Amino acid sequence: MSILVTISSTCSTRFQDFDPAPPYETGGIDSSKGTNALMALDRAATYMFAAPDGSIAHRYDFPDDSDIFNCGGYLDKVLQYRDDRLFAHLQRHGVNRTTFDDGTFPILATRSPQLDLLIYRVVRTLRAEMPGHRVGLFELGCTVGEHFDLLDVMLRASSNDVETAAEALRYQGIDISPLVLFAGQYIHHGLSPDNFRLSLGEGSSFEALAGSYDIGLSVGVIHNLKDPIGGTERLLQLSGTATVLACWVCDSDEGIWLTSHHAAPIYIFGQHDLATLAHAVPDRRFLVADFIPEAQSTQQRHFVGISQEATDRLGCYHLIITHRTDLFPEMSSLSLL
Amino acid sequence: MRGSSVPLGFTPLKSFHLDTALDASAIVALRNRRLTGHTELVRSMALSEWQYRLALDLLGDLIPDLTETRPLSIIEFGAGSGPLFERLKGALPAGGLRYIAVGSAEEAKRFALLHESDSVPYIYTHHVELPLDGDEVVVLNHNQAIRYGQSPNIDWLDLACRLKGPAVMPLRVALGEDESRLTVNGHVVHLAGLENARAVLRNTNRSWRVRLLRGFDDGFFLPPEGTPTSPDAVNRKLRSTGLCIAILAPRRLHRDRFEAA
Repeated sequence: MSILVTISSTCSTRFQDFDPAPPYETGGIDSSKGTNALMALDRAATYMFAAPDGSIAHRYDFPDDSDIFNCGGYLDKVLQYRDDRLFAHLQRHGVNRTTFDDGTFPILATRSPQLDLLIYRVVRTLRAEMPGHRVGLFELGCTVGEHFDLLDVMLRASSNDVETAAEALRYQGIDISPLVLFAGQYIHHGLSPDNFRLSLGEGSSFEALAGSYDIGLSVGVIHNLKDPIGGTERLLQLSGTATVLACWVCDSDEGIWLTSHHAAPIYIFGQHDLATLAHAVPDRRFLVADFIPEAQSTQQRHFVGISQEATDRLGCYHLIITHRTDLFPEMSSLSLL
Repeated sequence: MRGSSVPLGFTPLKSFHLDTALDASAIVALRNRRLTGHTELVRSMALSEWQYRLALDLLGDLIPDLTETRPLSIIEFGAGSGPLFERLKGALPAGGLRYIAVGSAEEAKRFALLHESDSVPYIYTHHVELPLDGDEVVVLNHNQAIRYGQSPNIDWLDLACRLKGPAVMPLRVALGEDESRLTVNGHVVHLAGLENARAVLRNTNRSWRVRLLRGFDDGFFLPPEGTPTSPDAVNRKLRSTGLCIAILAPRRLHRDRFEAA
């Protein structure tokens, strides 16, 4: 007798959430009290299960590495971008903010796709103005090169599948993690290395001539650099037409160093820092596409040991820094400058 | 924070940060070793630990020896994202592997993303009819399948009983009687008791041999209801489960630490 064996997936049990480390009221490590001094910081990825009385009943440690988390997270994005239904949706309803925000594909309403939409606008304009021109796109902190994938979907969806990222872009990404770079290389197998390059490096020290790319992009990685301001200045200068940034700021004049949930230092720009950047590219305007208060971020509790009050004083600008203000007539300049 | 009693922060991780991230990263690291010869990624502490939890090295070294037929044909039930497939690619010369993955529809796209651009061909399917007629090595990867809660109603031992040719089954077992357990991923799974599993395999009158890894990844299962939740009970290894690796090889294959079922 034979049997047919089918492998399928099932829904999982929904555990009730609990919070093992609620936010501090007055700050855990943003205080000058000696008892709060940070001597060393480590992180662990673990499942914790609490008994009804709040005691920890079980824990299961996970192999812990931020490169692994990034690899998984960004490959998941690529999977969603390469979904044929997403392509069909954009083809039918158009590549625009309304379609991205209509809720059909929630991923499109998140930060990276919203920034890709800005890049898409520049790419289409430059391609229209210079037929056959490969638009140079430099990405600082590229992980697996997922922006390339969504731009490819947008270009194909708006051109009846004629225009592709492989022929429209000269893409260069830089990242500090070999793991994510190899992942990016493997899932983009077959692209010409002349037009799709991934490089290993810390973002403060890359070599590129001023204006050597049309567009520069960084989704927050400027804050993880050894030299956040210097690295961002270099990114601005290599971008001949526009720089697109997710840029975290605080409401003080001076920037502040915080600690990310990866236990890595992260620098939040102050208003003086933004003025310094503006001074570095005096012919550009800092246009605001969006501002997301940290309290509304999709990745909550990103910063370790700070109070809710301190969190409420942080936020993320979606900026496009360009002299081509004609491409973004609906946007206002950053008022802090 | 490790070694500290003062947690400074808690960041909830998303589902794509967990098993799928580790599977994908292990696949990337294994491929990097195969294509470049570099071992730094695959030997990282985190990925070494993950490969152990998937029993990748153990299975990857064992499977090519289960048959002398080449190219080696594998059919893996519960393939997940294909970390074992990637491990086997590196164990055989080019052209030496034919592979069929049997997995869920949900996992098919992830599998394709990670493997379709590689040079080793594969077939991904959701169902297969048993018994098989060929000389494929059948892998009943219970250890992998339960991480994703796949097919909880499949009786893996019953499948094993239907096999005639070479096979390997990494089976999570209870060290006592059969029991249902809840995994940290929130799936209820049935664990055969070790002695019951051995008896079922023995009764096939085929040459099944087994090796037990006692306490293997035991924390993946929440303690049974009624287990004390005192710090002592939490901290000590409960070791109420294990990994039973069962092999069926038609020729006389010597393997240390395996014994007749």
